[in-house]
Amino acid sequence: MEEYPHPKIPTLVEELRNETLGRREFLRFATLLGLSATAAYSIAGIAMPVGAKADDMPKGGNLRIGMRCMEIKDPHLADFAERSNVIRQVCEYLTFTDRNNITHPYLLEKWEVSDDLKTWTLHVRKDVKWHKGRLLTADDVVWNLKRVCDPAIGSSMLGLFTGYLVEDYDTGEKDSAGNPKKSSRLWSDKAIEKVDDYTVRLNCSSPQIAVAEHLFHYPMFILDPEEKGTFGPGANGTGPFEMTEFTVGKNAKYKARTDYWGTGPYLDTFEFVDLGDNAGAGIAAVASKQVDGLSEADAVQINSMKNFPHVAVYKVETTQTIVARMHPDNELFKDKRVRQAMRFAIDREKVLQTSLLGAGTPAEDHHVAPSHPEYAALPKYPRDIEKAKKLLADAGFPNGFETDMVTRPDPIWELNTAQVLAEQFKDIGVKVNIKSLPSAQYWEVWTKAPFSLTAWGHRPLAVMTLSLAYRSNAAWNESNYSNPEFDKLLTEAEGILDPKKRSVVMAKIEAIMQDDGPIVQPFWRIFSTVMDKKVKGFELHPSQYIFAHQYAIVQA
Amino acid sequence: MALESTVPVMTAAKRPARAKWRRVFRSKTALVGLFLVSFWVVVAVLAPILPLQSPTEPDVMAMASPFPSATHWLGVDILGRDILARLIFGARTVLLVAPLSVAVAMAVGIAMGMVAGYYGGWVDALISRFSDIILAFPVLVLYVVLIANIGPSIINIVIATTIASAPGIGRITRGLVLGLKQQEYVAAAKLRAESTFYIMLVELLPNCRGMLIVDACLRIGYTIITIGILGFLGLGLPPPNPDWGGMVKESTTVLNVWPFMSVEPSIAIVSLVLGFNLLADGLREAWKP
Amino acid sequence: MTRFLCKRLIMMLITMLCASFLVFTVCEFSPGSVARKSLGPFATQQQVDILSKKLRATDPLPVRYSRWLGVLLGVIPDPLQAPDSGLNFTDPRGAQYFGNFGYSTLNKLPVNDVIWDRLKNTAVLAGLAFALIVPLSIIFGILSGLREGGALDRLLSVICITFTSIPEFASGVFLVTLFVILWPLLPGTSQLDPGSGWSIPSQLVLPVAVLVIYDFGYVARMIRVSMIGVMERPFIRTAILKGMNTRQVIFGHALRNAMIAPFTVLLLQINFLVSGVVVTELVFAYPGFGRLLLDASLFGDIATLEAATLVTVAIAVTTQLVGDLGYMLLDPRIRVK
Repeated sequence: MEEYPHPKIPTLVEELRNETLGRREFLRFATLLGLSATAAYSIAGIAMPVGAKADDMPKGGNLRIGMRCMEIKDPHLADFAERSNVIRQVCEYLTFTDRNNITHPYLLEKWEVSDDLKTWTLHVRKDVKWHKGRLLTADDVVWNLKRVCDPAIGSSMLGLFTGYLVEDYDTGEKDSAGNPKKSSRLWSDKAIEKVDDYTVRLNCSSPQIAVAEHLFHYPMFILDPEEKGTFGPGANGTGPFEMTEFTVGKNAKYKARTDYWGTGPYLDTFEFVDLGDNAGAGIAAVASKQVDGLSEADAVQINSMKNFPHVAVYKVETTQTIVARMHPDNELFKDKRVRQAMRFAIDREKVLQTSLLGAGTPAEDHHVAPSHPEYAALPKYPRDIEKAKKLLADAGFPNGFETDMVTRPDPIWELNTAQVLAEQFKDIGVKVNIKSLPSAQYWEVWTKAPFSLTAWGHRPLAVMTLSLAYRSNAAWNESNYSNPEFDKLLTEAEGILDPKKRSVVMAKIEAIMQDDGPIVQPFWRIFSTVMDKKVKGFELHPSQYIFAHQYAIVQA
Repeated sequence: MALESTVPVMTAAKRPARAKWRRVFRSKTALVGLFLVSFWVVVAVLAPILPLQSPTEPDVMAMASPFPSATHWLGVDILGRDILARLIFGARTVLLVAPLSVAVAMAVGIAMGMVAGYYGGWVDALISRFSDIILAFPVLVLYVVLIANIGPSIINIVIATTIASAPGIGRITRGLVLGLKQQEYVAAAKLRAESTFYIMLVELLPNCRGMLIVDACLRIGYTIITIGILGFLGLGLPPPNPDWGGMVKESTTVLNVWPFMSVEPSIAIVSLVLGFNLLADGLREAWKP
Repeated sequence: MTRFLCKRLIMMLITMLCASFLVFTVCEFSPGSVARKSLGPFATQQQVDILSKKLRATDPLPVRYSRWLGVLLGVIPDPLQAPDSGLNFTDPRGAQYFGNFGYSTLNKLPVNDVIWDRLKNTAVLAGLAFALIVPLSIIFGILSGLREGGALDRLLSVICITFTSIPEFASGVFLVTLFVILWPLLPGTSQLDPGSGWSIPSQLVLPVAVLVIYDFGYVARMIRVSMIGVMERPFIRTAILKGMNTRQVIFGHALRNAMIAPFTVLLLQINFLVSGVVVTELVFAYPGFGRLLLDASLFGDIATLEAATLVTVAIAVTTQLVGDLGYMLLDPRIRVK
């Protein structure tokens, strides 16, 4: 028998063979536990998706992609896909989760996990060169990991690492309301330790399966410690490009490196071009070939561009979604029957057709997608106006009520969804006034408004979003949702390795969300864009990540 | 210090009111303008009883082919809503907000101008300085800064228009009053010991009437464009109020496949503004001394 | 004359002060603290509070306004650039100098690095538009006003009035449909980027066209009215009756007199062109001053907004002054007191 890197793998193989474990699950878990992707795919009996061969790719040229160029302060604080894309061409991550949710080593050569899932040994590649000259070492990795665990930095990685590398503690001080102030720190001095020049060990306080996936979360860039977290043109990185120019609101320009450790880059130069807020500008730019493609294009824009002879359309199913979320601690939404009524009020297919032109799949109000590995199917419920009205009447609103809904005007599909939903809520007697706020104002109030429409990005695992958004006191719990039963089940689900057992728990979680939860969730979105046909190697990643070193241009 | 307007001021003899209005009807320009404006007013007023589709309800079936058809005479927009209905209901909003804003601005501006022109002295200086400051702001900047900060709503648009337009109206009024206050009938009224208020309202104002009405028409036209611009910038009245400028904004992404979605609201705006501009022009022609 | 100029200069300064104070006050109403905007939406409330305290953002309005004024005049260093604020905001010119407009929370750059480039771009657009508007409107206006009510007048007037009724976004969108998408003759966006395959002049055609279409009609109408007024003046009639060559009459006398009033109107168009171009810049993604102003307003970037306001007001007051001076020079009858 082959020697597997981890004792649990034979169990997984067996479960795969007697079909208690799905193939996707097997691939994900086996690779997380350190099995190479090649081996995992071959055991599972699936052909591994092969990328384009390096030799086949034409070299040279300049690629221009339209994308917002926002200001960048600290890569560890990246919070929007666009920001991470600008940095991503220059700096890299320790691992890489591909579009099939399989995590591969990247700056790492491989990793090993102890049986109890508490000790992770990361082996750093020995051939990675910083573009300013020296080699990547364990010291660099340790510096980066420790930095994101520092609460003073404010990285969202802190939230992910809390529970196994980082702990909350009482600082002993009290805040203005008299409550004890909490802070975070590494649970032990040895939590992140350097073993030798190319090996780092993570000693966790509790078992954690998804470490490798967490290392690919978008702020987890590996930066040069000398630059102390700043980023700009000429910043040092291990990545395939150097940034030569960066102007907020205008563009970002890159030049290819010749000594990159990985495959590619094939382009000579690469650019992001900021086209502003006007949605029509993107189309006009593609039409007149001022850009070769866009970082994203919604269904309406695709509809306009699909007939341009020189572009190809790309689509990918994602777990991007939008939720109309209510505050359960608000007068209007206190009674869970009101929240249920709101869920029964909408016609998901219709919302999908009108605001996304059908580019998506209906969702079930519990923020777990059918494509998520832990999804448990519950009976679906259709639109039921009578039932909704009765629920409202029982809750004390026989004639409905009026409320504001906060949203933002860009991207336009969000505003369109708001308008369509408002129309449907009207049918059960709820009059919704749409308050469309410009971005800056929206982000001021997105967690405070009693009723708001928020878009959530793609996450490979449902438990990631659930713990970010609905766990009591979570950082981004915009709905102020706090249900101890829910929290308990969620923690349980996060700890279960066996997907079948986990499904059972997930079914309970989903049921709670449908019964008591704070959201109305109409759909999961298909993410799409266009790219000139002369671009080869382009693939859409569900998290909107752009990897310019994989793309090449066929010169005419 | 201000530069006087070059348009001739009404002379002392007050023209009989009826003859004034009759002359309007002889001006072709004014008639065309009046027709355009009345068309929209009538349509807007009758909107609730006209057999229209819903302006806010999406028609999913029509979205497959949003072009004008038997059920949707002007087609549907990107969310499947009937464009004709949206244009007509949008007219209601526009024809409410624009004239209202200008009326309020007129009231404030005329008051300012009257007071400044009649009293002169430090009152005049103060009001004029204040007007200069506001007038130094380019109009659009003022609107954007105001609406972006205090939020889009009918009241706020009225406030913004008043702040932006009143000084200009005040200046015109002041100029007129300066010219008029030397007239005999004003002196006569003073001898009669009429109150200042009476003089302003009864003697001076009617003689400014012509100029101010023409100016008002032009301003209404300009305010309609500004409301359209605010809608296009995303600062318009909140959805789903049909907002002509917003309708153009929503359809910029589909110009090459469904250009009618932006052409139709544009034509609506142009026709209404043109109506007011022609009306203003015709009135000015008809009332020339 | 010098006294006159001094007085006007003082007026300009007072106007700018008042305008900036007004903008400060209006921005009070917008939600969002400077601290939150500097740190971004996902920073913790804790960090925002710490920064707010450092910036003393809860001080009363007049105090904060004086502080901004102080930074501008170079009397005090910009608090946002203090090294202990943890924001990494640096200005290569230093934290304290005359003309320090502060730090743009939107662009994360010193305002001085952002504003002048954009102004230059808009000036190019405005300049080109102005260069076209002046001759077009003069021709239309003179030809219309020559024979009031004539066929030519009617035709030109209709064109002018119709064009002034078309808002920029409508003409912009329409032109893009025609010349970019249906007949790809021109670039759809005007980023002023030579690398995009379209020459810079070709990128300017559509935005300038939109501006010219909207504006020349208005000025032409003004000129027409003035021309009509002049043509009716006795001395013109006398000259024609005396048998003077009509052309001589027009170019010799009528024109000069007709241009006096519209002169100011033309100058005022400069104001409009500098900041009213916001819509055109938005439609064509032009990196100009108008868009900067719009973005700053929507974001609540007070520093940039104040700077932009001051610049716009300064331009407006200056053009007014130039207009008055020109008026004085052109019309010997008018002497401003």
